[in-house]
This record gives sequence, structure tokens and C-alpha cells, in this order.
Amino acid sequence: MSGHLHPLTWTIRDCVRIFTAMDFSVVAGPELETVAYNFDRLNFPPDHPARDMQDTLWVNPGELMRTHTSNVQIRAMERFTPPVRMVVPGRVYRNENPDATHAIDFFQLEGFVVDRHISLAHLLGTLEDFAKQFFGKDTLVRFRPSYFPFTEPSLEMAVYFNQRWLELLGAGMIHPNVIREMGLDPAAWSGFAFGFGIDRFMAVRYGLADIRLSYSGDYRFLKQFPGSAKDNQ
Amino acid sequence: MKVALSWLKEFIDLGERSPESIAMDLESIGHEVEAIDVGGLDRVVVGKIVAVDPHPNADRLRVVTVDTGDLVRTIVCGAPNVAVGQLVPVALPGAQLPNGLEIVPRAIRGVESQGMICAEDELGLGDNHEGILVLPETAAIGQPFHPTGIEAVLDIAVTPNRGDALSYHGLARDLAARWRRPITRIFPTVTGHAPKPDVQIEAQDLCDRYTARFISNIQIRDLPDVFARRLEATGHGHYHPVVDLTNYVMEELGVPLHAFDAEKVQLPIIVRRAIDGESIRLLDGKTYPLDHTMLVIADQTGPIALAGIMGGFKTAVSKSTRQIILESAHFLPTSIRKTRMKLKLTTDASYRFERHTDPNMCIPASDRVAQLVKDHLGGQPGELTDKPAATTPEKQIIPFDSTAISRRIGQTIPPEEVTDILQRLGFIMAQKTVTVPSWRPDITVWEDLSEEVARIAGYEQIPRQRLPKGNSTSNEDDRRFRAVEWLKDQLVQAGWTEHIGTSFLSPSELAALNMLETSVIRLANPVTEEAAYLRSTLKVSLLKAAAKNPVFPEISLFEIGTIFQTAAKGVIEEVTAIGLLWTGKKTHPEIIGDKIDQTDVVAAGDLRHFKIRRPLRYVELTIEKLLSEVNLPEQLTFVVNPTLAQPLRMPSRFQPAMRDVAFVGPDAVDLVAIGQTLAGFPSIVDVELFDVYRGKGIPPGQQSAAFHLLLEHPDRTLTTDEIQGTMDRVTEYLMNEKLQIR
Repeated sequence: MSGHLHPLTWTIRDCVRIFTAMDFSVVAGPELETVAYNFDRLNFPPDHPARDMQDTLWVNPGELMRTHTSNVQIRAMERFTPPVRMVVPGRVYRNENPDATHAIDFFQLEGFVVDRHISLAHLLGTLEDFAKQFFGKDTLVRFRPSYFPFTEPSLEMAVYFNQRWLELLGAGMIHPNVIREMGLDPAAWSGFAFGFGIDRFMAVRYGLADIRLSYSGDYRFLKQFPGSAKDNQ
Repeated sequence: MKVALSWLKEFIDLGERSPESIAMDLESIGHEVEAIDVGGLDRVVVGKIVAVDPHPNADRLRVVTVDTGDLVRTIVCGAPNVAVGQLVPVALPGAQLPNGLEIVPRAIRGVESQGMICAEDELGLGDNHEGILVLPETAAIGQPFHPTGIEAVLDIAVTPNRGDALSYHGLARDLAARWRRPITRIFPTVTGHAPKPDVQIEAQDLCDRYTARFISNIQIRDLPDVFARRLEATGHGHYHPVVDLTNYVMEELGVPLHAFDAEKVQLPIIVRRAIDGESIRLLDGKTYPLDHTMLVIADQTGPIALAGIMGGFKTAVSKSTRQIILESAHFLPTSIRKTRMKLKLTTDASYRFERHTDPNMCIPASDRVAQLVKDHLGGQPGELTDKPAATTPEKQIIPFDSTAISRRIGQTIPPEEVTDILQRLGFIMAQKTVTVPSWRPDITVWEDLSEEVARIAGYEQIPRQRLPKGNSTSNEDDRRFRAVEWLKDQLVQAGWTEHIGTSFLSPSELAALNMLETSVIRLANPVTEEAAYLRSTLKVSLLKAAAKNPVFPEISLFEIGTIFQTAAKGVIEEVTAIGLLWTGKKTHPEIIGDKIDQTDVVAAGDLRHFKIRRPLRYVELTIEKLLSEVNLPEQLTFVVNPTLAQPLRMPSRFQPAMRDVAFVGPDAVDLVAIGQTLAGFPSIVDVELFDVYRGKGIPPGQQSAAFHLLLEHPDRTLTTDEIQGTMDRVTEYLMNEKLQIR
């Protein structure tokens, strides 16, 4: 008899499948990270409220548990030359009280593109396509301006699901300071980046009200998820 | 930032726009609206009385028919003044009134009443209980009942880069750019007479502008209602009329001001760093230790305020204050932030200074407070001291290229439109550069201009574009990801189920597994002691999962995740490992086979700690090692299957019970149908056919089948009697189907 795969795995696989079809490939990076890769080199100003936006778990003054999978942006560009299209699924950590919709450690998917002549219009189109492939072809999406230190312009994307607008994803054009940190000339190269909580996408897809159940190991929960094929990728 | 729309109207014409439409516009230019409070009481609406009839069982009561827009309701009412045609406040079922009364539909003397028509006192508006509150003719049927004076307040989450939007003026300015309307507010100047307070700035790197003026002959009296209402709507208390006015102007113009009782200040005022060892008692009554990194406002006696954060206790205004010194200054964000973090003291003032305030608003804000004090408290504003001097701060000039901006947005926007948008936002345009307005220190590079143009034009109207076909390149991380996913598929096919647990260990888990604290990494600031250590093994996570499932006879769980180990010389190693935990007869997992030597029987002590009552085996190795031992196929693919066969069932918080039932019956028996019927029995939530057998020991033409039945109750554990009761019914059903129970 077949066993069962975790719903987070199913969700990550579906996201990776969608982006692979857009010529993205997977990259990885460490969970225990330096403050340089996690904040400084992503244009987070030192001593600035922007750092409060992501409450940090520290290991020692220079090292922390990564607060987002964006830490891999600079690392990846130290290994690869553009043009690139990359996705980074991985575990992240926040100094937050856990409850039904928040965990101390959870999963995020970061994606980024660096190429010539990338625009905000490309970002909107790519995200809209992703949302429609993940949630259904008639899915409505909405974008509004927002702020992240490592993108400019920045945005949040909301998806209309079960009669509500759900804000699910943050994104933006990669900030020129970050392009420079990648060792590239912002006059020649541009790009976009996006990130979202995989747990949230999983919860919406499967109708899971309390994400703590997915980490509990309760077999009554796990066994409801498939183990075997419909499609192969 | 809470924004009362009637107040915002004083800065920009809102037209006929509804609160919802204004909120949508604010969101579409980048200011998230977290809530819209339209005032009124929840589930109290305006209703129109359509008929009034006597109550059949009570002389003093009437049966009133009321149209509340959604329904025509019957309400029993005892008030003497009900009459047909009146517009009245109706509390609907579900409403909770300010006096604590909860409205439910109920029968009053035999007649069903679907709500309550309210009197003034029931709505918390006054003491009148003589009769119901009759509303003016302009009230709209079905709309939420708004007591006069309360109106819509938007709760806006301003992003940390937009300190300029933390004021009515700033938000109006942004809306003005989107709506192509002018700001209607003017900023009259207030000049005053000598004397002016003597001020010296000694820490110009922390404070680059300080203005101060006397305001004399102040009469402490109540301010008109509108101030209290607006301050309350926007989350402020009211304290002292002078303090209230400084809070009021801070909300309006974004500059936190402070008033000292002039009599208690020994001039000159010195804006300086504190000296190590100094301390100050602040307005909150507490005394704080100071050091040389902190900016203070001082006089001859010592610190009299913690600059930009909170005023001092000694120089605070009181009922007896007749003359104030009004401070309106520009403090630089960095030291304000460091000081408030060190002292754990966040205030409305520190919040704004941390996010940059506009030095060019210092004087208009001071003038505004001075005017208000003059108008309402009789004060006489004095002449303004402006230090260091009337120097023009350095202007930020950045390159401007309309084509580059359009290209970054990905939309062909005519250069005149780009220029027009930026001008409406206050940028001064030149041929190849722009001058950034003093309230936008967040604009430092030309790419920031592209966000300004895109947000005012509207992200929604940008035509979407697709990325062209790319070179799909692989890399070692990508191959590794696919290899791991392929591996998971092999494990699942062999019967293993994937668990994902937390990365953390608790002190008791460390102790239970005899792990030394020195061998694991501890967080410096854990959320809770239970999640203080980073796991150096997957074992705990899997044992916890096993412990969650005592009723399942066999479990085979695996987890692939990161473990953190301290290697030599304090170096931390992060490694992806796989752990496998199982019951049953297997001595080692098939996937690992005989390539890996060890199999670990889980120690009795470990089982005991996690309250597991059966033997388990556990193996852990690094993913690298496992992948190196397995024959990976050329093409690494993994299964993708997003859908569930049926909606997700939330398991009960309480422990289930598992019972097996097995029978022998004819080959033709529809096992699926039997399974579905069994699933309908009380408390049975899951049915799994786990064995079908023909052959030795079973008569020809017959089969043996066995089901696992999972029983649970949503609110408690089932009693033995309940479980037996269900099993008896299962037995009875199977016998009725002429099946032979084993």
C-alpha cells in the first residue's frame, strides 16, 4: 500500500512545476545565515524600521535564522551569471508568537529573474499567470503598491478566493543597490523578485484552517493526502 | 494611522466618495487600509415603522411592524411614543448594545419579536428612557445607525519608508496627486513679538533644526468638542488642552511638537547629548538612565526632555501653566531609534521621527499650534527662535530620464504625463534631473521615481507582459531538488509517509535524549523555551509524530530536513538529513536496503519520554550519503498531484480509536460499497480496506476482506460503551449481508 506525501511537498512541487515551465530552475541556500546576506546586502538600511518588518531570531550578533528565502538572491548570483530565472523553496524563521496561521518556522518560496530589459509589466504578467495556474484559470488577482527595501517599485498581490481577497505574495523590481551587490551594473541588468509563504498557499488550496496540524504528524491528517500519480512532471 | 474622513475633508475635497472608495484609492497608491470603521453600532440599523397594532396579550405593549430594508420585521415594543411613519434605530438579533444587552429573537407575551426598537439610553447616547429615539427624516432605511458626531475612520498601515504619509496633510497630498485636485488647506503664518527663547544646538549631527517660541497668558479651559472627538477617533486620549493641541497638529501636519511650562525652564535651552550618568524623570513618571548616545533637551539644571521621544516630568504643563515654550524641531532618525530601543520606550513622537519628518514643516506646525492656542486658550504667541539659522537644507537632486522610467514600468507613458505626475507629487522638474521634495527622503535613486509614476498612474492599468522563452538551464541545486523529490516518490511507493516537523528542540527533549546542551545550537532570543534549540537530529520530530498516532497499528514515517550540528572549533554545520521511523516487521527500510549497515532500535527511555508504547526502529543519514548509494535515473521526475479526492477532514482534537473487522464472503461482494456503508456508522470517520485474500484457507469463489475502522468524536474521547455499540451495529450489518465475520 502506498504511503502519503506531505501537503507542503505537494504545494512546493506544484509551484516548482509552474515556474519550471517558465524556464525557472531551483536554487538553495543556508537556513542559518549571516546578517549580511539576509539584510545588509539586500538594501535593508541599518538602524531602520524596515528591519522591524521581519522579527528576527538571532543565533549570535552576526548570525541569524534566515527570515526569508531572499537570502539566496546574492548567494546565487555569486555562483551564476545572468540571465537567470530561479526559485528557492525553503524553510524560514520568524520571531513571532505561533498561532493558527503563524508558525515560528515555516516555508517560503522566493523567485527572481535577472536579465536585460525586465519591467514591472513582466512581473505583473508572470505573477498573474502563476496565480491562474495555481488557483484556476478564472482566478482574479489584484496588485497594490507596497514597500520592501530590496525592490523598487514594490507590490503586494491579492487573489480572490472563496469570496474574499487574500493577500498572498510580495514582489517588486530588484533594487539597483541589490543588482550592484550581485556584481552587476544596474544600467545593463534589471530583474524582479517575489516571495510567498508556502504554508499559506497550502492552507488555501486544501482548506486548512490551522497550519499547526500540518506539522503535528497526525496520521489522520497526513493520510488524506495522495502518494501516487495523476500527472508526472 | 487613523484617519477620520471629516477631518481629512479640511485638507482635500473628498466629493461624494464613500469611505470604501476612498480606501480603495489609498490602497491603489500604496497605503494599505486595514479597517474601515463607519461608526454606528454593530447590527443596529435604521428602520421605518409601517404599522402599530395592539398586543393581544398585554395592554401596555404594541406589536410594531418595521421595515429595516432587508426584511419587514415584527417587534414587540412598550414605548408610549411609537407611531407609524417614524424612522427609528432597530437593534437586530446578534446586536450587542453598549449597556450589555444582547438581542435575540424571542416571544414576548406570546408574540415573536425580531429585534428591539431602541431608546437613547440603550444606545449609550444619553439618559432618556421615556420612549424610543425618533430619527430625523434624512435617515436612510436599512443603513447602519450613526449617532451624530461619529463618522468614518480609516485605519491605514503606512509603510516604514513613508514618514510623510503619517499625517492628514501628507495623505491628502498623495490623494491630490492621484485625483488631480489641489490641497485646500492653507498654512497662515503667525508672527509674534519679542522676547524669543535662547536656544543652543550642541549636537547638530542629531538635531539639525530646532524652533522655539513663548506663548503667554494662556487660560486653561476646555477646548471645543471637535478636538476631543477627533483626537478620540484617531486613538488619542485627552490630557491638557495645550498637549491636546500639540497632538492635534502632529496628526494634521506630521511634526511632533512639545510644550514646556516656561516658568519651570531655566534658559537657555541646550540641545545636546546626555552625559553618561545623567538621568531624567519623564512624563510617564519613570526615571530613565541616560548616556552620551542619547539626545536630550536640557536647560541650566540638566535634561528636561528626551528629545523626540518624551517630555520631562519637571517641566510638564499643568493646570497652573500660564506660559509655555513650544518646541517644533527636526531630530534625525538614527539616534531616536537607538535610544527608544535601548530604553524600550516607543511613543507617537518617536514613531514619526524614526521615519523621517519634514524639517520645512517645523515652522508651519509651530504657527498652527500658536494660532489654535490664541483662538481657543487666549494665548499670545511670541517670536520664533529658529536654530541653527535660516539655512536652506541641502536639496536632493537625482537624475531624471522619462524613457528609462517608462521602460522600467514596461509601459509607454508620454514624457509629459511622467513629468506631470511627478510635479503633482511636489518634485521640481528640470531637463535631466529632478529635485526631491523635503518630505521624501526615501527617494534617492531614479528607480524610486518609477514607483512614484507607476503608483499614481495605477498598477492596475499597466498591460501585463510575459517573459520570453528562456534558456532552461539546470544546476546542481536543481538536480539535487529533483533527486530528493524522486527519492520521496520511491519511499512513498514503498509505503512510507512523509512527516514535516519543527526545527526546534526543547530543553526536556534534549535531556530525554541525553544530548548535551553544548552539542546543540541555542537561539539568543527564542520565542519560547520550548523552541530554544536548533535540532541536531530528526529523531525527536519523528518520535513526536509517532506518539501522535497510537491507534494506527503500523507506521512508517520519514522526514527530510535540515539539522544543525556543532563541528570542531564552534563551527556550525548545516546538513540535510533523512530520518526513518517505523514499527512492524521490517528490519530496515527497503530503500536503504542492505547498503546501510546500522538499524537503530529506539531506546526504551526515548519511547517512554514520548509516551510510545510499542517498539520502534529508527535510522538517520545525510541525504548526500543516501543519494550516493541509490541508483538515480537519468531523467529525474517527480509526481505532481495537487487535488484531493474529497474535501479535507479536520481530525478531532481528541484521541481516536481503531478497530478492525474482517469477514469472508462471496467474490462478487462489492467491497467498496461495504466500505462506504461502514463509513456512515456513528463515530466512524475513516474506513480503510487493508487486506483482501483468496486462496489457502478460503473456500473457492470466496474472499477474505479486512477493514481498519477509525472512530472518533469531535468534542471528546469515545467511551468503551460507545465504541462497542458501534462495533455491534457493524457486526449486525455484516451478518445481515450474509458475511461471515472472522
